Amino acid sequence: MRKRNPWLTLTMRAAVIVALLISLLPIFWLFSTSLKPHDEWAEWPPVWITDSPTLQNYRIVFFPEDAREVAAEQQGSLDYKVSGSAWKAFQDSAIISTLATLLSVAFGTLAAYSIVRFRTGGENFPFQFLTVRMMPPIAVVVPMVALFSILRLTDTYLGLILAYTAFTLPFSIWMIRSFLEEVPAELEGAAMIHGYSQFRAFLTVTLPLAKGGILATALFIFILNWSEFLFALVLTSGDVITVTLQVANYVSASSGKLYGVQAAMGTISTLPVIFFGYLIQKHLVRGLTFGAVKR
Amino acid sequence: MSESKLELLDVKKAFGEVEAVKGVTMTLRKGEFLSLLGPSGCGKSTTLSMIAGLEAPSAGDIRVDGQSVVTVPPQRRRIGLVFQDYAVFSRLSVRSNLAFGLEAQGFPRAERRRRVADIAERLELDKILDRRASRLNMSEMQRVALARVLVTEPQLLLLDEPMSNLDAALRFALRGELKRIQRALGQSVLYVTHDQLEAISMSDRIAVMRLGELQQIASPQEIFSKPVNRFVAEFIGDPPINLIDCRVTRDGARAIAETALHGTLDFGPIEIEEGQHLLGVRPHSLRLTHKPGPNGAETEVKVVENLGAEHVAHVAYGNALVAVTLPPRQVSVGERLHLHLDPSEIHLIEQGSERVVAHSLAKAER
Amino acid sequence: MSWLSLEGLGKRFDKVHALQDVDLEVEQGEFFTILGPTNAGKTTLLHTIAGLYRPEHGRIHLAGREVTRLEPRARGVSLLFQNNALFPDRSGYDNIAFPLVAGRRDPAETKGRVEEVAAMVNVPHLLDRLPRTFSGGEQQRVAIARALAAPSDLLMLDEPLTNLDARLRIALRIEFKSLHRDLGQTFLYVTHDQVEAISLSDRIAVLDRGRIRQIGPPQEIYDRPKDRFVAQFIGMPPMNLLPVTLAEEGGARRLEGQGFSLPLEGLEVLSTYPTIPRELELGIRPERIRVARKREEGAAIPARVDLVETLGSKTILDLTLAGRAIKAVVPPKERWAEGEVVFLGFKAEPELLLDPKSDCFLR
Repeated sequence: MRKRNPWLTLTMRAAVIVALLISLLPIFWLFSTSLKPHDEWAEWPPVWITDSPTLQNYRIVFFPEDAREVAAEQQGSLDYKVSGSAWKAFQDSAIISTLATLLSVAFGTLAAYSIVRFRTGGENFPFQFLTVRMMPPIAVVVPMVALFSILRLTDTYLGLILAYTAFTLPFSIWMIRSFLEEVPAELEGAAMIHGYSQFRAFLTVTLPLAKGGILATALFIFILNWSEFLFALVLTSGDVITVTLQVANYVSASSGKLYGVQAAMGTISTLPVIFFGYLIQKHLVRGLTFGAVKR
Repeated sequence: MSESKLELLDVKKAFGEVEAVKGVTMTLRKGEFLSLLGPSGCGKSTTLSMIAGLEAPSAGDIRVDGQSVVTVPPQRRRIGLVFQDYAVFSRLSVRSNLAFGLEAQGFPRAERRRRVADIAERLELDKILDRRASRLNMSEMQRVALARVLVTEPQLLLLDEPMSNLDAALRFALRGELKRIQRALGQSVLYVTHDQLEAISMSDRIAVMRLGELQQIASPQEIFSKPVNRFVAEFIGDPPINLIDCRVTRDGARAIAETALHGTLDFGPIEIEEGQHLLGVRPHSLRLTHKPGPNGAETEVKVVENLGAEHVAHVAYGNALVAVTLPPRQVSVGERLHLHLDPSEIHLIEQGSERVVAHSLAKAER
Repeated sequence: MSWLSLEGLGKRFDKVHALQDVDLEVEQGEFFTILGPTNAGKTTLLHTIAGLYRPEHGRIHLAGREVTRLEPRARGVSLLFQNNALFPDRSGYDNIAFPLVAGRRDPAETKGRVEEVAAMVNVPHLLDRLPRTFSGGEQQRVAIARALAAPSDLLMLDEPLTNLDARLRIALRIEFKSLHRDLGQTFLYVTHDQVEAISLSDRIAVLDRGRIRQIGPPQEIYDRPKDRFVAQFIGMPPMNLLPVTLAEEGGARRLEGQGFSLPLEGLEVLSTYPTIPRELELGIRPERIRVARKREEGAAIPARVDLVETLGSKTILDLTLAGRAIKAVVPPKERWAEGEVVFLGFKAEPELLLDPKSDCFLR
């Protein structure tokens, strides 16, 4: 261990704290707004922590049928009549995000393995994959809608699952590739010489060693899917509704955006992400730094 | 007594509970090639890091030219460090590699040019200055790595296992060359290695370390022929020293040792308790003959190892085997021969303390 | 056909020829070593025989059948990888048991066999621990145990001693030798260390840049190298090669070198050299040079001592003979001073005359 200059240590700590504040502030604001009564939502100067916290926003989210009652309690100043159901949104998002994540990681792992072990596609192939993501999604939305309509995939689970899988696959391949590269080929070689087929060696030797990285990749992809908005917006028309679409649904005809209710919905929708993150946190540091940090 | 370049005074380093270096005191003389030799984990690399200034000692003092450098940051210590595997910038030309350190230290262009030309000539790199480092052979690579550090005119050059990942044949060639360069420039060098052959072949003196403690510091010849303890005796020498069980009895003041094959080995008046101890005998100081003779005993050849220029015969000695070095094609397996000890090269190792208490038999016995 | 036979084996990685036209015959029970510098293609050769690489050319026969296209597990080979390749997430026991479990052996038999091989290489205490808690030598021993656990027709070892310290290297070297003797198995051993190769092998193949330079027993490779590469790769220090001119006077031949002139006897008529070239190089092993303080019979060639390398068990002198560097090995107890003028004695051996045009020795 090298002895550090104390000033340097102090400066570095300060920088970390600033970075932490910047990234935590929106989450705090989201949570704080979800507890505010309607007259504080868009106040100037902003209300940081409300004096009269309320759970009314959450009530609207979970029990939209109470909207009239809530409005009555607030002397009718707001029209809480909203469309869609938060329950259905959570259910749809969970199904779509989970299945799309599983598909993406499964295909990604196989593709990455092929690239790492057999040099499939040559030197530049992984880069070519990444270029798919360099195109802004909005550019492909119109042809996608046309294509999905012809295939009758609009407004279905399968449609969104396929769209999400396709769009997260480059990330999946790219990340998992770097984890598979860390597992020495000799281990698989040893397993093959001692009696395994290549595929069995891959499944039982290589895969368990890359487990942490693959879980981190899965979480990353899940978050992308969970918070996706654009495709969900253009590829559905009411039958399928995701969490992000539901947030946008909290708009009332007479009163504009219901910021408090949107914040409540947003707060709830971050919970699964935090929960999964907690479950695999020991793999996360290594995973999200692409293996650059050694344990 | 020549001038001392580097002094370590009771230097200690602890990492938490672990004491990596436990009070090392030694001196490196001006122009000397000193090796710090020991197995991995003996504290030699930590010692080197403290001298270079990459680590601060927990206690003790480090002096260069009599001045304490403990509080001096590494870049101002004027100590050159050559890393493992030489680590030359392979994308740069030889010239840029050499100028790198000078540029970093902000030398003016003319001075840089003069110094690079000077060191390139001394290390015979002047004809390949514009070659890319990736196209160099290993000998050139070693010279570039040395020149890159020497060009900054360091007080002291530290080398950290530079040859540890190279082929045996290559190491051999680089050893002689490194020694010649050091000699020609009169450069003070501290060389850290776990390879006893490197240490023995190049050093003026060797400091043997083990578990953070200095075991012995002496010339290669002395380390080889007069090791202070069992560890040093075993660590140096290829093939390694034979350790033979012996029983010591006292005949008045004299200590007499007896082994499975050889009786009454008289070590003279030395201090050692009666009982089981060990004899250390180097394979090259043993002889095998067809005829009996003094200090000889009959035995059988069990294994012969061919090492090319020499053979190693493993002969039965009690329940164990003893290695004997000899010229090629002199003995064969199964042959019965007489094994002779050289009375001037028998080390008596005290059981328990592991100290070598005698290096030869008493003169009267000869 | 031999136990293991390679015919015209060739392997390329992109544009690099890792193996070119490799022919090799290994007999059953032989300790055969592939010796060569880093990047000679040694590991590629082993991995190709093991089936981890597919060769572009050539065929491999092992134990009486062609295995060129077989999967690794169907070849009946075992390989000790250079970096051990122990499974880091499995205990010592599970590592050693791997080939047995993969081969679906009876569990009771597996347990007995694991304990047997663990005892053979002295690692019974490591069975319950994970590989990262092993020392370098212990890792190597467990890897050996795994390689031995299931019976195989060929055991391949890829630089098994390279990353170990000198003492362990010597100890394991002797263990390999006795393992081979006790098991009676065919060993194919790869190393860059000529001392290991010479001390262990029945025969050696010297490999350089994917091509085999010479195959033969250790002593023959040492005494009668085929070309410049082999001569200079084997021997520590390597063979001296001094330029000489062949002179003939009335049937008697002499070699005229810079600073010396030697009679040459016993050079027979050579099939490959109808006329013997004039300009040659003479090979001299450093340990065959006599070094004397005073000019005497058989040591009359003056040279200067440049550097004395004391190795304890021997001393190497770097000398200058008429402007050329030459190395000699002398006994450890003689003291020599740098700068001293000494007298050398060596012979012209007809086996060690090199044709600088072809870089091959005259045969």
